[in-house]
Amino acid sequence: MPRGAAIEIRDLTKRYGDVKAIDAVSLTVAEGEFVTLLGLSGSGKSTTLMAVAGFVDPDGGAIAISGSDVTTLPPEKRNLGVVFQNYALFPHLNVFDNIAFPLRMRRHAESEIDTQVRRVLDLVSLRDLSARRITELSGGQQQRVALARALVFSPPVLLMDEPLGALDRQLREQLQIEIRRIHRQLGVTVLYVTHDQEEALSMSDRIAIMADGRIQQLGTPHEVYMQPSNRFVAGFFGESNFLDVAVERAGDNPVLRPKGLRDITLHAALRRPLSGDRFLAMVRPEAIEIGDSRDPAFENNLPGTVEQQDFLGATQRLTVKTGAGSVAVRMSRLANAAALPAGAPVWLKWRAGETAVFDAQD
Amino acid sequence: MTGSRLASFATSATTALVCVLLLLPTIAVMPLSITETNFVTFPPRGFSLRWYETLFTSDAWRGAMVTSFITAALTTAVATPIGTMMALGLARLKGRWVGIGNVFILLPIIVPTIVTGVALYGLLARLGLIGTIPGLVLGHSVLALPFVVINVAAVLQKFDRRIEQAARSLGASPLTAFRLVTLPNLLPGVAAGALFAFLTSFDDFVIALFLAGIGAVTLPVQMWSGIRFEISPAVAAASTVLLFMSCLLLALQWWVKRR
Ligand SMILES: Nc1ncnc2c1ncn2[C@@H]1O[C@H](COP(=O)(O)OP(=O)(O)O)[C@@H](O)[C@H]1O
Ligand SMILES: [Mg+2]
Repeated sequence: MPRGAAIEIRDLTKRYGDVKAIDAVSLTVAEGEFVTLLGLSGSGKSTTLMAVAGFVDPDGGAIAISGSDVTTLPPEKRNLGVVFQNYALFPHLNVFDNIAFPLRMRRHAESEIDTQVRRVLDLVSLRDLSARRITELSGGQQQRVALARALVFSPPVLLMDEPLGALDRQLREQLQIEIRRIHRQLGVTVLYVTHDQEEALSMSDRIAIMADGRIQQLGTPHEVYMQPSNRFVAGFFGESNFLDVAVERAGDNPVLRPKGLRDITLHAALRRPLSGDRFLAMVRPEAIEIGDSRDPAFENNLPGTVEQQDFLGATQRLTVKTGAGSVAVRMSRLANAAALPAGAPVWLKWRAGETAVFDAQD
Repeated sequence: MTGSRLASFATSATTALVCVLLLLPTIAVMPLSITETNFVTFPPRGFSLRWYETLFTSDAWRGAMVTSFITAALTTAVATPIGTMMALGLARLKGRWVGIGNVFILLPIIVPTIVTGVALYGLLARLGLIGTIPGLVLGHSVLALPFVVINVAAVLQKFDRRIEQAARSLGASPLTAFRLVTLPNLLPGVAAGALFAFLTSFDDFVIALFLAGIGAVTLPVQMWSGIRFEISPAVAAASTVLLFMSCLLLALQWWVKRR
């Protein structure tokens, strides 16, 4: 079974004219790890990935694979599997010859090529399509061929640039699961690019959130979702509530005082020291529970009145007006929202561990 | 309703009329070539293929046809690879160089052919290439290059450069990637460009008139001499052959593009 190789990216910088496409990006991907670069369009994800693949010549920094420097190595010598945006299959070759291409480049015997191509066709569940022309395949099938072609020579690293971007939602979710399975099965190291936050959360061991050519935060899906390091990262994953707070007592269990509220203090579990005056406390709408009085079982209690209810299908959203501003609360569809008409007084309560704090400037 | 139908009928009728007017003189040449007489008459008298026979038996006419074919074939062989490379280079230009590059490539089409003819005459006379097939091939290649570039560039525009990168990532050197991936995908454009190059050379009269001398007379030049001294029906037969060749090449080109 092929083992993955570690990728080390150090201070990678690339300029296009005055634009810094990426700015001192550093990232280490462990052997067999699945790391995703997540960010909006133009944030530098592809530039980073293509620098690893060897198609972007960086202005500064270094890239090492399995500990050996590849920064100046041409792409064909790097032995990496690459799945491109829109697949980049060879339109003049059929499925078999597309997948056999890397093996022919490596001068394998035809019998060996046949065995290997069949192996990966099985892996991506395309056994019967080897004689098809590329133009006769659906988007999902093309994506599988691209994956098979990038894996057939057992590269230690697989790079994927928005591989599912062109597919519809259902197919995307199905292929996400398959890519995860293949990753586990082969133990290959994966560096994955997407702008879809759900895709990143569900697939990755770790996520690097990029903006303006820099990595904003690197962490497990839980870390980046629950403890975002700045407002941008928090805003990237679905809905969030931001409260202006002052930090009253710094340290491991800081006391936060919401602006505009005298006798309320909030609590967060924090791993970083804070300094400064203006901070934002963040809590996710689904982390908040509704009660009719202060509840000592929760570290955070905030009174308010119901402003609005929205039915969203699986969930319902309650907008609650508090002294610190409007707060969105997500409840299960099954919660009894009828008991919470507009104007009803409520208490919002949530755990310290659900509260993230960051500098309002960031 | 009827108003718009009338308008649509009028448009169709006008289009048909213009087409007929454009084609008529060309088509009118054909019947002239089957006359039995020694001179051009309209309508032709009798039916005979003797003027076609002349075309293929007389030294002057047969020589001209052979020269035309060889020149066109060699022009295709010269202009196609060079034009393909030019299109590839052009696709890599950035910023304002794109516009400059495009104009430069189209220059042989923009400059009046007679000016190109004069310029080529001056140059090739000094090199002693007047009246030689290599001289003609050089001149025709200048004319044909833009057509190859345009055809290859059109295909190149639709070509996804990333499949070249894909080939590299799979282990192909730049040259191998070009040979195994880029070129096969550009082939329709290259083929169309080659047919255009052949046609350009085969049809050309102006450049050939300057460069043909007495040693490399092409079919159009021979036709011109044929009209100047005696209006022989062989000229009409040659016209028909030329017309047929043009149609054939255009049809071939259309077929290549459709695939
Ligand atoms: N070849 C290029 N020429 C000029 N600018 C580029 C080029 N490639 C990327 N950029 C710029 O660099 C930035 C990052 O691009 P990219 O890495 O493609 O972002 P992403 O993949 O996250 O959408 C963008 O501002 C983009 O316009
Ligand atoms: Mg991108």
